[in-house]
Amino acid sequence: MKKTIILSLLFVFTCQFFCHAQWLEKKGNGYFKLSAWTLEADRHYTNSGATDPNATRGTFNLSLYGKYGLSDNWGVIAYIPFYVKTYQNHQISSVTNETLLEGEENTSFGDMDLGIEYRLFKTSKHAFSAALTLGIPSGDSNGGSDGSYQTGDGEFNQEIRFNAGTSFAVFKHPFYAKSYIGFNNRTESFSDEIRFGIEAGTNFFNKKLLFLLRSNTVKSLKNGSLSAANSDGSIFANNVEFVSFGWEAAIKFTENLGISVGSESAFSGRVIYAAPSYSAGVFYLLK
Amino acid sequence: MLSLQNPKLSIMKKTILFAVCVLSLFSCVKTDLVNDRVDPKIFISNPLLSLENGKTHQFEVVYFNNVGKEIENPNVRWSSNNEAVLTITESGLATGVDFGPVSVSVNLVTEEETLTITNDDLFEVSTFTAHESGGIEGTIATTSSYQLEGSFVFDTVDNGVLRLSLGDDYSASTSLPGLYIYLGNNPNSIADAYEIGAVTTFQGAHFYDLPESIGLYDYSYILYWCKPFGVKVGEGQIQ
Repeated sequence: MKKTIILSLLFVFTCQFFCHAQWLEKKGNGYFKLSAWTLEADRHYTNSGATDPNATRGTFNLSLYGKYGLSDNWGVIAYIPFYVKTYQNHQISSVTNETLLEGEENTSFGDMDLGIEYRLFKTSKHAFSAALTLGIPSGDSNGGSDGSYQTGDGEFNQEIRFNAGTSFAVFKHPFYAKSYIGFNNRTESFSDEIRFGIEAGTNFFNKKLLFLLRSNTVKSLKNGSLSAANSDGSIFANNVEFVSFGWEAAIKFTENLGISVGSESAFSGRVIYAAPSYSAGVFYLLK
Repeated sequence: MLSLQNPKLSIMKKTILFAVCVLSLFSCVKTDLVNDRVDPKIFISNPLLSLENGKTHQFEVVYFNNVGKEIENPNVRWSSNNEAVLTITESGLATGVDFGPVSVSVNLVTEEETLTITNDDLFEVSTFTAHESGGIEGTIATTSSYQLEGSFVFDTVDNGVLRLSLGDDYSASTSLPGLYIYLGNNPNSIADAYEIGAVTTFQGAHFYDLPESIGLYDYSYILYWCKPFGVKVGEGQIQ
């Protein structure tokens, strides 16, 4: 029943991978990525959308993302955060230099996402698919001394998503654009969510460099009953919302292997940290 | 076929190792400096309304330093503004010597910042002794973007229990995760504060009974603190 504020930004991270610029893989093909991701924030968006300060908190994780084509129409997707660390800085008095509050960290396995994707139809320039993703509560939903250093939200959610993509040229330079809209059914009294996003990118240097921009949005349907008033002062927040904007650059060093770096930040939101996240990873294209 | 001898792969390996190291290096517990300075405060914790002529009263004093920490046995100086009505010793023992109004002052030069702080008690030497009693009223206001407001009374109830009562006009946002209430002497820190507990009432009148070890004058602030964000979201001054 738990959705943390920190986790709401892990969720940005998840979105980032799920709308990566890869079409549905062909049979036997795959895309695999080992990533490091970090976010540290000393401000957050409140429930009214304003920003307030907070003790500096952060999250760092290492994850494996994989997408594999079972057939030309079916593919599987997995996001496995196998190392997730949440932490808070020591709070030191600037007057006496005494420690006001000891810093703390918690490390564990995170919440996995497992999904299956189906190609609805494809033309030479357009592709449409649908995906079902299951959010597995494999993380620690009650970590740290006060339970707020979570690495998972403790609830099993299911998201159905429709993807659309197209390719086009501007001054003979190739571009692609993708968008998705999804419905995330959440359990344990959390509100369901509508998620949507857009992404556009292009290649340079004979397809060795990919650069893309993306935006993700989560809107809460506010139909969940979970609130601070009925959770005995728990640290969990419901009805998290955000609009984020990010970029990613990927460089291929061989036909199959490359690295990527990126950043994403919520530029408006509710009950979510107001700071950019950064990621770096190595990917492998199975052909 | 992959080969680690490939110079491109070597560059890639170094790049990703560097990126992961940098990301992980910065993703660890570091230090936040918190400006927790407050004005030092001294006050008489057992003030009088009147003192019976010829009787004595041992005044007591409480001192909170520039970070709101209580300092035991502060080196204070007591004085009476009218020695013909009331005398007072260096230890704060007052004796009524004649009828009339009088004011007792306590002074302290703080060690930390060499400030002189004073507290006065104005009362009368008369035919009976009466201690000041009655509760302290105040209001709670938000110090953040979250809704938090209401009135409070801090008072001793019939059975001698100190009670913090929130009024009908109390209202707090239910969007606040991990909201806790404290009594403290530093509005910027809960390091030496007393944690009353998690907030479970977000609308309307309710109260908290406090342990016997807490006195009416022990704390200057009611603090509402969001634990996951480690930040104050509201406060009320106990004056």
